[in-house]
Amino acid sequence: MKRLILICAVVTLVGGMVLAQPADQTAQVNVTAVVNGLFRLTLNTAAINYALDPGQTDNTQSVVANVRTNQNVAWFLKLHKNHDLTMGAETIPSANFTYTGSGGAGGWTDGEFPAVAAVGYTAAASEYKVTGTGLNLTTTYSLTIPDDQTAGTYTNTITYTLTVTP
Amino acid sequence: MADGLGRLAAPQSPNVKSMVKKAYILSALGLMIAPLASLAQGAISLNVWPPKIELSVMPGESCTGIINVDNKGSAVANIMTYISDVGMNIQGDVTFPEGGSLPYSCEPWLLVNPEQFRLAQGASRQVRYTLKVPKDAAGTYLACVFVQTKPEDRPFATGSAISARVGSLIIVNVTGTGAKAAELFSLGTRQSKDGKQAQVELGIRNKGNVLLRPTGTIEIKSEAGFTVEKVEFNQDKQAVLPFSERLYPIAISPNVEPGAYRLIATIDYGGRELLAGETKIYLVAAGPAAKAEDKDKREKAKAEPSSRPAKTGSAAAAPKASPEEINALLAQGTKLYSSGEYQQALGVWQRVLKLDPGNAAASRNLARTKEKIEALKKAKGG
Repeated sequence: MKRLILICAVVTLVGGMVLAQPADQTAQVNVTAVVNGLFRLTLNTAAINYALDPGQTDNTQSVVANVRTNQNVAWFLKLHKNHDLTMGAETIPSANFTYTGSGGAGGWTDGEFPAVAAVGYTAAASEYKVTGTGLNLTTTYSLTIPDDQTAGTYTNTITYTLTVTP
Repeated sequence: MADGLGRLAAPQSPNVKSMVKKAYILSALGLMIAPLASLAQGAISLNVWPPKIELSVMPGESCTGIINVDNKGSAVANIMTYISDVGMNIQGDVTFPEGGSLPYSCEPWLLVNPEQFRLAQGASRQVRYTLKVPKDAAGTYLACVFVQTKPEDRPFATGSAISARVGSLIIVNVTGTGAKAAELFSLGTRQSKDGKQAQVELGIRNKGNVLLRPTGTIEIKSEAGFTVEKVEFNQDKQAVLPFSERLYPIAISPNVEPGAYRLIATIDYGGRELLAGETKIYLVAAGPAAKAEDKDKREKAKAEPSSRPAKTGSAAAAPKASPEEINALLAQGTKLYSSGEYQQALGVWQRVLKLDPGNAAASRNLARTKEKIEALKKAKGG
């Protein structure tokens, strides 16, 4: 009898302990991940330099523009010069300094550097979002020094512009 | 042993002396090479976010916001910020004329701060813009905040310094003042730029004061009425600016056989009615790709009742003045408008339209100037 009472007491105790366990509880942790916006233009060089003789042409210099964006939006790359290559009043004719674009699946407009920002490259729809290492767009410069060009250092600034369409 | 400055001068062995000498030479070489190395590596890299900001602001109210600028380049960057207008030619090429020169410019209402700053390699900076919309503003206005690197590295020989600039486009919709109106002014075919493919060219004239993003479908039907091609129009929602015209090229599949077809356009510009246009086209084979035939075989377009008749080719009549004269008048009008001489500007736009009835810029400016005059009259109680 004592043994039976003891067993009952143990069962009651264990059952009580089990029942006394709190019900399953849930708690929420809100996770917020902010993905930073990317609309980036990288140019591989800060200057293009030539040392040429009169009559000589150089087609070897280039600027690589790398575009990265994680927003799926139409964009384009424009380029323009602030003025022709000049040294005081002396100027290398505009037609002697040109560029040719390459790279990307979109459309290039080649030729002389315009004085106001004009479309150089228009992104194809497949390039509206370019992540990873981005899209490399190469502009290869061509400069021909006229035979009668006065000796000296002729300079200007070429600006690359990256924007989206309205 | 202490020297005059209280430091201990350690006796140096010839080996140590030679090492110190080498270190000096290497440091000097390093100092000489470093700028050249940075020039060669020389990456200029600007990240500007967001690239487009669309705001809805009540007339007479102000708002401010932030543009984030990161220097991801390999050197310190000297940055300048400034605001330009945003224009678009009929082909959809975006232009950035001087601030305040276009009638739908919000450049005069915008300020950016700071206008110049230095940004260390890897550093970020916020540029704040403040916009104050005038009480009489109506419709959509645009501007672009540019963030540009000042070219530090001048070429050491003949050549070019390179600068990068990234724009953040600002589109301001003045709440409750927008009026949507559009028409189809051109529907036909032409060659793609590379001459390899025929394409549909669809012209939309935005007659309202808000930016439109028309979408729709273009159907090519055989004369028997079977659809041979159906193309979604402007899926990426390219805009046509207020009081402007835009021609949209739409590629035709090279699989469409040469022959006569009906071209049917149904366009939703977000207004009350759909625009619809229909024209006959004739495609002829040109090597591997189809070629659009432009002249006699194209018939005049027939329009659905809900739209204005579409025309093939250009809708504009030949100007009665040279482009230089027209441009000079446009510049004069813009100058008058910018200086608040609206009545005189109105006269100039009307003169341009007499000389060149199809001039889109003059029509747009005329409408905007009329609006401005009306708004001023209302403000004066007249």
